Amino acid sequence: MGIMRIGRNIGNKAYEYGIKKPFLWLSDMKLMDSGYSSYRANNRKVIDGISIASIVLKDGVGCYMYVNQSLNNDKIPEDKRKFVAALDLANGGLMILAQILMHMTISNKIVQTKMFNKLFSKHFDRNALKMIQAVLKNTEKYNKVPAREVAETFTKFKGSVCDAFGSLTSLIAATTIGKRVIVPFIATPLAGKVEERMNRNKKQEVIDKDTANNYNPNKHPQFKSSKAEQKTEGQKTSNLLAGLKKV
Amino acid sequence: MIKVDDIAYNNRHGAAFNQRKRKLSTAPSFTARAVVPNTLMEAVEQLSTPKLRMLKKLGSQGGEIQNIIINSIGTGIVAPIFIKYNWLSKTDEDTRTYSAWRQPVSAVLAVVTQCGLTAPFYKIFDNWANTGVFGEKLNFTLFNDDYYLTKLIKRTNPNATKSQIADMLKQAKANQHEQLVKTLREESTVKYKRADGKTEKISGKEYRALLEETVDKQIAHDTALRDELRTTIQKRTIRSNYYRNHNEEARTVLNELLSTVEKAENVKDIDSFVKAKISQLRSNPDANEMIALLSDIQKRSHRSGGNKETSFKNIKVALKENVEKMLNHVEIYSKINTEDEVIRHVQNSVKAEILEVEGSIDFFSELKKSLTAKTSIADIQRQIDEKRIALNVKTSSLSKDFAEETAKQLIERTKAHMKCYKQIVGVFVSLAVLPFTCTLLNWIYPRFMDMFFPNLSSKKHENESSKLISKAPKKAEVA
Repeated sequence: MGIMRIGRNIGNKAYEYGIKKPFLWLSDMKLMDSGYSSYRANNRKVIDGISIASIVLKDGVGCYMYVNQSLNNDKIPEDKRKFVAALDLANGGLMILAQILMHMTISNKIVQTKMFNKLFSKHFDRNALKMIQAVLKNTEKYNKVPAREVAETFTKFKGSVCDAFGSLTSLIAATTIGKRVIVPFIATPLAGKVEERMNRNKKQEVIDKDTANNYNPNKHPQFKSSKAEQKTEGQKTSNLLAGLKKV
Repeated sequence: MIKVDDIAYNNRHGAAFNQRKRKLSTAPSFTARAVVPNTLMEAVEQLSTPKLRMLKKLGSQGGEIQNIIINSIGTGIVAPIFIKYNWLSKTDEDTRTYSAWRQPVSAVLAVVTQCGLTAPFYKIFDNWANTGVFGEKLNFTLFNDDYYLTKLIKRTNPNATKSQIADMLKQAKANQHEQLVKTLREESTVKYKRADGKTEKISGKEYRALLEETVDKQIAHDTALRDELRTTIQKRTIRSNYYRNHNEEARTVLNELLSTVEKAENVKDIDSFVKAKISQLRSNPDANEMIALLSDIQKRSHRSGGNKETSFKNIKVALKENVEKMLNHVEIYSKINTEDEVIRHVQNSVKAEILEVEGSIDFFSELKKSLTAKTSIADIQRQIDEKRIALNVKTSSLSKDFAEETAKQLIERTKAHMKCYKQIVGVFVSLAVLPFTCTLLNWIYPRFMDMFFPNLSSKKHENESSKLISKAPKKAEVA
């Protein structure tokens, strides 16, 4: 019981000083005030700036950490390690670019509103409103509701449908197609280039003529694999033992 | 002598009771009162198309966890395909396959860490806002969100059905809103509840900013209304001039349209009449206004008029009234002789409204200058009421209840603050979680590959080596 209580106390203190106090302090910071007022006034420049800065910071730090850890991960085979790291780097860089691009296009509120108007404007134009007002005027329940109130409710409905459209297009176009199709598609060949660049500065090992490997597989046909024979000279293989596989 | 109450309050359970009592004091009451559902919105929704209703429903169901899962499905299933089967890459397939498998592993970890670490942080912030841990800028205690209220309702009414919970939720929200508006109207303040059970009044600075923003909203509303009225004058002038200049033609076409609408059994009947009439009128360069009018009627006839059985009937009634109103205008403008008279007549028809809206804009602009941290809402309302009588108000912001508008503005601004807070603080949360996710991925990924795909990972080399060793000639054989 005593240990439980000590554990609970430590947990409470950790929550109090590690989470509650810092996050409450952040909420009352003077710097936050300018952010709050920009969000209140719907100042797109500041809101977009904060969003882009958060993307760059989060993904930038993430990319650095992933690349660094992949390069130093001994458990990843050495022949693949650099490609994995290069893919992390290309993926991270492209992801930042893609997210900024999408933030300014498909995920942007103004662009989404334009797209929405192009697709659904006929459902929310003057004719649509007039018809709804006229139909409601002939119903027993709403015949006394002022036309202006119907118009305001209609605008609210348009707003909620537009928001739904925005979140769905962001989810499908930006998150799935943009981030998971286009980015990996470009990142994979780019990672090959990055890997080549990583290897460019690697010094060629000087092999002493006395210890050089003079083994010639043609002189030892029993170790020659059929697959190795089929491989043309220009083709790459990552596995040095591939030629010996089917012995 | 120690009273029983004191003993109860001083022991451990007493403290818990105190805490519970404090918690309950911040919770909204669920006392019965006539439920006022959002019926006008529901009615408007019903008059829209099923496609739009579906879109709204899909959008409103998207929660944070759902987004994390969809995002991870993309990472885990879609992305690896574009890495492995990428014909642009010159890297060998083994390496690409090995790297592609990093994506599903990272997707599973993303779901685990984001649902387990990042998302709870946002839940904590919502909870702090709802229980009054946050100060006035992020305090939701007077307009709790649906999730928090539903949780409280379920706790206090464990046996309530889904529809009962929905009713109680509407009720609780209405009670909270009513209380907020009442405090603003009667006391010209906002009384936030804090987590320690105390009540805290809005600061003077925030109160003044709130009043200013509310007034700004009214000015913006009226300015948009004034611009709309000016456009109406332009459009109405063009149409009225057409009625005056082509009076007979307009009367004939509109009468034909009226009888078609009356006889129509379905929307196709109206469609075919309008199409035939428009093609007939196309040769006449002066008939553009009539073509536009007919095209408007056609568009309106395609609207939904409610449920299947009554839809067309409702549409017919509305269209009939519409055309009769137009015929009435044709009649009015047949008696007007000059274009100047038409302009004067049109301007007069909206003159009262324009005057009202402009008067309202002037009033609120002046009011904004006089606002202080101590301005009373009752006083503002008194001034509005006086102006309302003087201007014979119908549509402008002067027709609204100022305390109600201030409450709406308070909710809107607090939600905007929370959005900003989550965006900025979300960066810190993500950065704090990142080393954990990163280390976990780097630990799990190679081990996962070794276990399930030894042919692609380093295990292959070990396997190959052991095979070669077993096949190599033994020492005795060599000898």
